[in-house]
Amino acid sequence: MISIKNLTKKFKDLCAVDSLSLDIYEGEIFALLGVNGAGKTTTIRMLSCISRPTSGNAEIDGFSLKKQSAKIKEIINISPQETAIAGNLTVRENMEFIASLYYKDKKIIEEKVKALLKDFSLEDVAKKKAKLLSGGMQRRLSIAMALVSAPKVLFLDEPTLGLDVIARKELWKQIEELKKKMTIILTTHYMEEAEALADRIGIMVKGKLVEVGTVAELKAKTGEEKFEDAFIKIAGGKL
Amino acid sequence: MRTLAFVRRNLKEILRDPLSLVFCFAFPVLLLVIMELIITSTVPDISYVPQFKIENMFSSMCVFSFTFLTLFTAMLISKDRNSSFQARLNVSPMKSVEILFGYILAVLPLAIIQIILIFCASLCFGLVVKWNILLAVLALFPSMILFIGLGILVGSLCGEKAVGGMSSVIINLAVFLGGMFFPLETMNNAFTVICDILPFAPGIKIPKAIITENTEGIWIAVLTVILYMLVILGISILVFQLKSKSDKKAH
Repeated sequence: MISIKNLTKKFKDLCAVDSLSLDIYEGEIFALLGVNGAGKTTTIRMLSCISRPTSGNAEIDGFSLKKQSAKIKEIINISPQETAIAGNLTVRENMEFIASLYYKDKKIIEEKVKALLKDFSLEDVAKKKAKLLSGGMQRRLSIAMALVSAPKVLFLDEPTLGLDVIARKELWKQIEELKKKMTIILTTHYMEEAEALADRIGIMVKGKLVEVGTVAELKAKTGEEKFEDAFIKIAGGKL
Repeated sequence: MRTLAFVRRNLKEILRDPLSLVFCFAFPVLLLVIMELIITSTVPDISYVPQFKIENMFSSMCVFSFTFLTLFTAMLISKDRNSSFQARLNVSPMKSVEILFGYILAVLPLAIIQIILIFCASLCFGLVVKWNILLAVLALFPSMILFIGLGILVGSLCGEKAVGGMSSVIINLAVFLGGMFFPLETMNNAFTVICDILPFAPGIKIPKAIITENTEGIWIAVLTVILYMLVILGISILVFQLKSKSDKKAH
């Protein structure tokens, strides 16, 4: 589904992503892990056409990132790190606005919005202004907005950052339900999140992808029992 | 279709903010009412303070109200640029030109509401309704577009914190160099030349001249405002597009 070849992003002297090469398969949840500044968000921004790569390229569903970004935009969507909602619009209006960027038919827009409000348990707050929702609900809305275009590839940038444990678990459930329906690439700082959700995990250190594998493979490779310890070992930290 | 959806979103964002309602609509009308009440009750002969004649105040307050379009356009663009909302728009199939027109078209109805409200308030203070009022309203359009263009420019160049400060500078420049509250004729020559070179005073002069049917030499003011409108709008579109591209490179 996604084939990345030597993808690189430089900011003056800093190489944020360094020759990243990776294949992500259709229907899998792929988690990008790394400490702050490892290059996870920059990678997602490049793959979602928000930021231009300095060099290298990627193919998403056969479309070239550099040459066919308009085609790619039709099949991807993103739930950014900060909750990207229009605060003064109601929950329903937020959904309808994003849907109308992808569909012309009002009936289709209505159906999509109705279904997602139900799936994400947002029906009761549909008429509420988005800025008045709790953090967890705002994040849920942000993901629902990303799903309104029925993307083939969904990017989730730290989807549960700052959420309490209950809101986080609820959101995990929702993400798990999306499994197999689309390819999901998520970044996270929470090891247990990657363990619970991801089919495979890529660990980035200083812009480089240093390891890729399943949780079991990464634990076996490092000889650690806990995935958190395996991550620390790979990321170059001391135990 | 996409642009219209974005226009609706922008309109809702602005109109649902109580501050926008106060500054965009209530403040200019209130200022006109207060000034006219003070002048009519304290000044025996309005010819001593010609800038407060209702036809002058109508033109001045319309242009004054447009300065807040600069503020709110800039605030909206800057907020979207600096938040992840812009990321969402960039990921969507929307083109940057559609996004730009979404901002411009959202602010235009606000400007028309401003004119209607100020017109209604001016009627209470004796503004004579003749056919030329329509022409005077049309003559306000270049100033309207000019201030929206300035809003796009400020919103594209400034961060969220700097937008308020920069817009305040433009609002104050328009007030002081537009001769809204003092007759420019009484100022020294150099000052009036500066005021005539800038678009604020000519922007007020044109509708005023049309209403008073004293249009002699008005073409210089018309050309000045239209020239500024075209240049500022052109620059703002260019800067908006360039910033969209550079934001892509810089993140």
